[in-house]
This record gives sequence, structure tokens and C-alpha cells, in this order.
Amino acid sequence: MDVMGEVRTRLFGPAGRALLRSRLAYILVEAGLRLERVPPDRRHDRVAALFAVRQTGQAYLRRRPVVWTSAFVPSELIYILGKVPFLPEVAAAACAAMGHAPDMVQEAEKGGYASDLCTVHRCGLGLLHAGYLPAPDAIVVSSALCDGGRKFLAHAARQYGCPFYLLDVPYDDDPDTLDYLAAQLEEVAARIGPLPPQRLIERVFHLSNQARAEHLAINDLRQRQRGLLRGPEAVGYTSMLMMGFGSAGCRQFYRLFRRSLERRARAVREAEVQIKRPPRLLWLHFKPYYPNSVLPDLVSSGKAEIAVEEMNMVWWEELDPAWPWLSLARKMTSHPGWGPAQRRVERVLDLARRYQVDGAVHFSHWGCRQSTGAVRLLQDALRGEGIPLLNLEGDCVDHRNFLDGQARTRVEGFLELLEGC
Amino acid sequence: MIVAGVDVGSLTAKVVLLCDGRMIGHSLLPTGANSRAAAERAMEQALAGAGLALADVGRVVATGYGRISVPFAAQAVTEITCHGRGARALLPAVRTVIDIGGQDSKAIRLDDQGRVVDFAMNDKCAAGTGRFLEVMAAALETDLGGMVEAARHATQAVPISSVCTVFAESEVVSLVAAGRPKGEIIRGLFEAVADKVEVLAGRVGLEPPLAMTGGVAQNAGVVAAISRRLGVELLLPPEPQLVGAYGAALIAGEQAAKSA
Repeated sequence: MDVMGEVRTRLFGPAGRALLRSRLAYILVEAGLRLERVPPDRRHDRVAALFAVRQTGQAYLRRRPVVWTSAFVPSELIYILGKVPFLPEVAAAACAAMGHAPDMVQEAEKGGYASDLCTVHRCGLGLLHAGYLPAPDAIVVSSALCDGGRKFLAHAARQYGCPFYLLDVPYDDDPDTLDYLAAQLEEVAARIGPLPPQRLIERVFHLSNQARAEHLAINDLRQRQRGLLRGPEAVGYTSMLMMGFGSAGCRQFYRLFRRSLERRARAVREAEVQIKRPPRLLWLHFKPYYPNSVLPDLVSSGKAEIAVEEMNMVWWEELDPAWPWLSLARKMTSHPGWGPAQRRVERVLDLARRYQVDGAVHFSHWGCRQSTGAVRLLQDALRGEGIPLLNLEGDCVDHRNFLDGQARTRVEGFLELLEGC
Repeated sequence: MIVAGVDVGSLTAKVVLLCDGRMIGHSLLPTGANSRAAAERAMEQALAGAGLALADVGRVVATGYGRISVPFAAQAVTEITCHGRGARALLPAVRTVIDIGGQDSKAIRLDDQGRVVDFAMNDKCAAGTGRFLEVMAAALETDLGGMVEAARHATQAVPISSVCTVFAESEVVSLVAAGRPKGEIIRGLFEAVADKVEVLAGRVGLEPPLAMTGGVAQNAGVVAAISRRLGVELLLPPEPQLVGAYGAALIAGEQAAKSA
């Protein structure tokens, strides 16, 4: 039985909203996931699915207070406060994966929201107005990167009548910046309250640091060994990166994923087959989250390898429980996408060199100015290293903005270019 | 050895047959609603013209939008590579290719070995493509040849501000109703196509010599507008609509030679 397939079908049916708030539904889904036969190589996917189901259940069943956040607020902040993090952006991606994002985008547009606003936020707005999202007790957003996100969440706070906190992340990364941001983090924590006991900070940071170590091991393995990812895994699990760090489920996921990849690496080495390897790609920004044939086929068919993804890297240092607010501030300010575009360019060049890529693909999501604005800079910098870049325009969430045939031609044409056809 | 290239586009399906690098047959017919059937019909027609059967063809490479719908093709290669290869073979000095087909327009830059080093395509919108010109011809109650003739006598172009084909059609109808000369409107439409091409050429970095391929290369008015806009003379291969199929056939020949 395809448990997640059943969820997809029923969630946007007549009883969908009620199902999201039904304790029995979560019990059944979790039981179904546990009973599903999963090969050893895919157990990390089951852990990821169970984590998502549990987090969702905690939010909708209100087992603990719910704090909505934007993508670049460290999840550890919410876990040390003993609350449940909920990201409407992740909900939008999940809605896209279920094929219902266009319905929610349309719902937002009926409400008068501009059609050139990022579809992740239009979908989130649609979900909000259609009653699909769990009521928040507080909303915390970061000023970094995503402008549409904080406007959307500010609006949501007004709708729900809950406190709204904006973490102002300065553009430049210096000691004053860290102190300024650390003070904000501590104040927000105190206002949401209660301030966490030290043992909880230590526990959450320990889990985060362990998951981080596993993630680093995965990235190191992918740097040394080619062709480890399967199609659906490419540019995947970014929701775990955004809302999982600090939880036991996240640590377990990365641990199992690392073990799966190590097994695959051993199998590849043992085969010792000399075959022509496909081009290695650096993937920039996100991907289409709805079912499509382009990206999964790219990897599954062996036409290309996604060697490394910009959005799936560990960019922060270990968190120090002795300095919790400074640690979290440092995590926020060290994101390579924030600050001057040159910072992102340098990070991308570093990835391209370390992973010895043949080409790069920038998935330019409709309405995402902060990422697409740097495409020309990235292209020129990569060209200087002899690495071509494909600017693939599309949409992460609304499949109506992504024509399979057009995208396939561009991607296949790019691969032919890399192979020197 | 006899090889074939099949280019199944949105409007037309084309086949080129080569024997030891020499063209011995070709066909061009409307694609219609069924790409697979169109590919089969185009192949039958090309083979019949050359007095051959499919069994005589050693290798087939398919390209174009419908390239995955050609069951008798050994390989599918994008039209980006095929137009680059075909144009280079016909015009050995060419470094940039502008291809405007039924619903796609693209700029392709080649290195000194004729390999594709960069490309850019229209995204989402078919304004500025062959379909755009067909819609405008119908709105002006003429055909594509009539458009070229009318534009030849116009001394200026009426700017077309709409970027959408449907809205541009409405704009054209309004301009006609306002008494603007059809020739000037048509020159404005050709300039609108040149606008799109200029952006694509800029993205890949225009490097002369420049060639134009695809069906719209047969429109002298569009060619002139693009040439004026880019400030370069455009090289035109014979039978520009067949360049993609020709490039595919060349690749088929290379692949067949490697396997031999």
C-alpha cells in the first residue's frame, strides 16, 4: 500500500481539513509507514516521512505551542523553547508534491494577491485562506533573503492575532552584527517564553551538531565518490535542513542516509566497472517539487549526476551551548546567500572546484528575485573557471509554469554541450 | 551508408536522407496533432522520393519537440545541437546561429570547432516565433508572403508594445482600425521579432558570422529586421527549415561510422 499516495489523494478531498486535525489519521498514517516494506537502502526516506508526519501532527493537534517561521530562522531556536516549528514554505512545497499547488495559488489570486509574487508564498497564502494551516501561537521571521516570506507571515500574524517577531539580520557579518542579532534572539525567546533551561539548550544543540556531522560526512562522501544519489534524492530533503536541526528525528535521518550512501559507495567501488561517467552538475537554488519527468529522469537515467547542491550544504559552524544566542546568530549571518552577491559567488565557485563539476544548473524560480538576481554574476564567474551554466527558468511549486518538453530540451541540450557533441 | 535525420517540430516534420554525406532525399509536411504519425509520414515521403525503404537506412537520429515520438530513431538529440551542427556544415565559418521555428526561438553560439558552447531560448512565451507571425498574418488578412511584400514598401515601423501574441493581435487589429498602413504595422511586427532575437543573442554573446535557420529564415522582412538590429549580415543556408534534420542526419552518420 502506498501510504503517502493515500495521504495525497485524501488531503485535498472534502475531508482534508478535518483529516489534518484528526488524531486517528496520524496514528493510521504512522502505522502504515511503519508497516510498509522498505528496502534497507531507503530507510532514511521512511524516517524522513515519519518525521514529517509527527511534526505535522504536533502542529495540527496542538500538542505543543506552534511557532511559524520563515526558512532562514534556525529551527534550534524553536526546539529549545519547547515549541513546534512550522514553515508555511515547506507546506507549500508539500502541497506542490501532492499536485494541488495551482489550486492554492488560484485561491490566493482570487484574494487579490499579485500574480508575480513568488508562488511559494502565493500557495502559502492560498493554504492560509482555505483553512489548511495550523493556527500559530507566534510567528518569527528573518529579514535575510526572502522579502515575500516576511510580508506573507506578517499578514498571517494579523489574520491570527498572534505576536509577530522580525529578526533583523544586518547585511554585513562582523562582531557588532553578531551581538546585535544575538540580543534579538534572546529577546524573542524571552517574549515567546519561557527562556529555556541550559540542559534543554545542550540537548538540542547536541542533536543539531550530531546531525551536522552526519551531513558533513555525506557531503564528503559525495565529493569523493560519484553517482551515489538516486533520482528523487537529488536536490532533496531541504525541508529537513530548514526545520529538522535540533530534533532527534533529523539526526536519525542523516545517520541512516549516510549509512545508505556508504553502502552504495562500497558497491560502486567493488564493481570497479570502467564506464563513461556522465557529466557532474552543481545544482543552484531549489527544484520543482511537483511530479515531473525532467529532474528525476536526469539522474535515474544516468544522463547526469547531481554532484552537489547549493541549498543542501552545511554552511554553519557547530553550535556552542555555552553561547546559545551568539551561536544561533552566527548560524544566521553565515548563510552564503545573505549579504553581498559576491559572497554567494565565492561559495558557488568553492563548491564547483571541490566537487569537480562539469557544469552548473541554476533553477530560477518565478518571483524569487534574491536568487535569480545573481544569475549573470554566477554565470560569468563559473565561465571564468571553464564551467558552463544553464539558467533553467521554471517554478518550484506551480507546475503550470514549468513545461516538461521545454525544460527537457534545455537540460538535454546543456548535457550535449557538456559532452562536446 | 544511408542515414536519416528526422526533425519533428510543433508545426512541421522534416526528414533529410544522406548517403555518404550527400543529400539524396528530403521531405517536409505539417506535424498536425500526432508527432509519431507525422514522423512516419515524413519518413515515408522522403524514402519514396529517393526510391528507398526504411530497411535501407542504417541509422536514424531524431530531433525537435517530438523527438521522443519517433519509434524508428536510434537516438534523440536536441535541436540545439542539430541546428548548430547543420548550420556549421553548410556554412563552415558560422559562429552564432539564430533559429526561429514554429514555437521556439533560440540563439546558439559555436566555438571554432563548431561545438555548441552556449545557447538561449525563449521561455514560456511564443511571441516572436513562427506561430506569432502566422497569427498576425491572419489578423491582417494576408499570408506570410504578403506580409513581406507589404513591409517592403513601408518607410517606417509602427511599434508593437504587447509582448503577448494574443494581445499583440488585438493591438494590430486596433492599429488597422485606426488607419495605420498595414506595411508599417508589419514592419513593426518584424521589429518585435528582432527585439526577441536581440535579447537571446545578447545572452549568448553574439559572435559573427551569424546564420539564421528555421522556417522564419525564409521571411526576408524578418531577416532584414534582425540584420539591422544586430548590425550584422545574416548568412542564410539553402532550405533553412531542413537544417535541424540535416544536422541530425550528420550526427547519425558520425554515430554509424563509430559503430562500423
